[in-house]
Amino acid sequence: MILHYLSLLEDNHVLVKDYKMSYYKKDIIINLSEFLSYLPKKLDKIYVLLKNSYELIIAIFAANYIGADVCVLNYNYTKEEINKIIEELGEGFFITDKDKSELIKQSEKITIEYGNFFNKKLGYSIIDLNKKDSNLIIMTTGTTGSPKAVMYNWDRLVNQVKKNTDKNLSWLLVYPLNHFAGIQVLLYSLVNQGTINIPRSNSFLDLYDSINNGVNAISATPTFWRMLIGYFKKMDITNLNIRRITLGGEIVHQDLIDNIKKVFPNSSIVHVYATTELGSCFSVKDEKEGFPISYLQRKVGNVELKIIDGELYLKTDKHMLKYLNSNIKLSIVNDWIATGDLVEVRGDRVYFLGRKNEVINVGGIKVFPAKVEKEILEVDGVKNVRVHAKKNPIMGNVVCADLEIEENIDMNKVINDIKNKCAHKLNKYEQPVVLRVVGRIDRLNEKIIRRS
Amino acid sequence: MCDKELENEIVSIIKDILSEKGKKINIDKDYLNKSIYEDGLGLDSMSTAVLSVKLEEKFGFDPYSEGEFPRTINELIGFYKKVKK
Repeated sequence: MILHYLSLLEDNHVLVKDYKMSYYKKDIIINLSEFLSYLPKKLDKIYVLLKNSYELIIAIFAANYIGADVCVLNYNYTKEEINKIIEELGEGFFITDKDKSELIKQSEKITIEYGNFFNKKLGYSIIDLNKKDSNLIIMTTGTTGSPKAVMYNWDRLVNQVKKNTDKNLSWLLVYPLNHFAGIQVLLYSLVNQGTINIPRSNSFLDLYDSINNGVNAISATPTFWRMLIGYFKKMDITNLNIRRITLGGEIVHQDLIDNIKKVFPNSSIVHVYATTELGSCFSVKDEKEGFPISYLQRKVGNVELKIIDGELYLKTDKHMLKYLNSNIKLSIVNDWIATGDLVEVRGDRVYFLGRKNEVINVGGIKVFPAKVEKEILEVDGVKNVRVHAKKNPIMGNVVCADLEIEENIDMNKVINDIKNKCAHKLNKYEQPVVLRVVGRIDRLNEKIIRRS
Repeated sequence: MCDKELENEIVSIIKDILSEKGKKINIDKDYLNKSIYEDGLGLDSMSTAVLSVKLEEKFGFDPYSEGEFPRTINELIGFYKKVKK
């Protein structure tokens, strides 16, 4: 199905762009056919560990062509992590630009191919774009625990991509392609005949260069957006033309939507409810935090929603097929899946409070980190915050906040402002007892790490 | 840190916590021996949790985490004097 959409593109359509060059459909077909000439005709599973996102896209196409399952690995995994995954998921053909010795324990069962497939250009080949039924294997980010391998069927994933009338969207690839959200950007661009822009790196200057070079759509986490907006505030960016912004992966607060809108007034801002396990379930387009209560009363793009005991439940067919390395199953009762996300209805809107397992118990009172984070993030000078529990002999736990503060700013003033805001807006159990300024809050794939 | 400094530090921490609750310590001749809790100076359970954190930040450890439950400022001073020795 992926290759079907590839075949629908015009020969001169640029599907991928990096800081050096544009890759037209015809280049992609050439590179793909060359790549295939290095691969055995029949493979069950391919592991891909490549730094270059364009090569990774070709490898994904190739796996689809052969009908092999493809496991896209995080390039930063250690040797130990890779070996653990192979042990859990079983043998497969390995495609990497890394040296074998730094990668994998000696094993007769694993075939390793490495080297650069993309140096030579061969002639144009017509590839038979047969439909094959293969799977994507992707690891969860692991912000709340150790990464789990998740399996999706490619055809189902592609079928779920929303057809957009807004063609010519040129997406900045912020997420790596080993991330579910990165795969979504790839599939969205393929199905809707858009372009994927691979930045040289995720440094702000390189991102700026990419955006300045024709990007008009960006999908990223709220954590990423707060940093980018903070950076762009100090620059003249009137030349940048962003018309589509997607937020996902973390709770989206109103102040962030408003701040993005100030910087990119011509953009439409959409936040999506998507997880690696559940897929991309629904989106909110009215540029307000939370979602309309009407979503509880009707199907939202084939997904049904309801709230039980403050937790969001979904009825959806968009979820993964299964976990491969864990006995844990999605908790599905009568087709309804408990999401683990706690929500609250206020007026005609449903607001996210945080993950069920992140709730901090302060003397028997439930404190939602996201609520505290929202108040702190609204204070001038705060770039990022992570609220977490600190064990306490009296209350069981107290609330702690790690802060990233803007440079060249009066730290004591920011701390006092936070204290005052929290004293006015939060009850005494919710107010952080410890405010700690740190250089950088740990994050994975631009999401704040939640596990402690 | 001498005894008077220790006393000043502890009193200052308790004063700060109470002042955030809009309360003041009434410095009479016996305040060091008054209960620091709601039957005396006025710390409730949440304020006591804050006190344990502030004491830990200041001195590196706090009596509550060591399984003790000092009732008065003098008992708090006593705890730190005892550990210091």
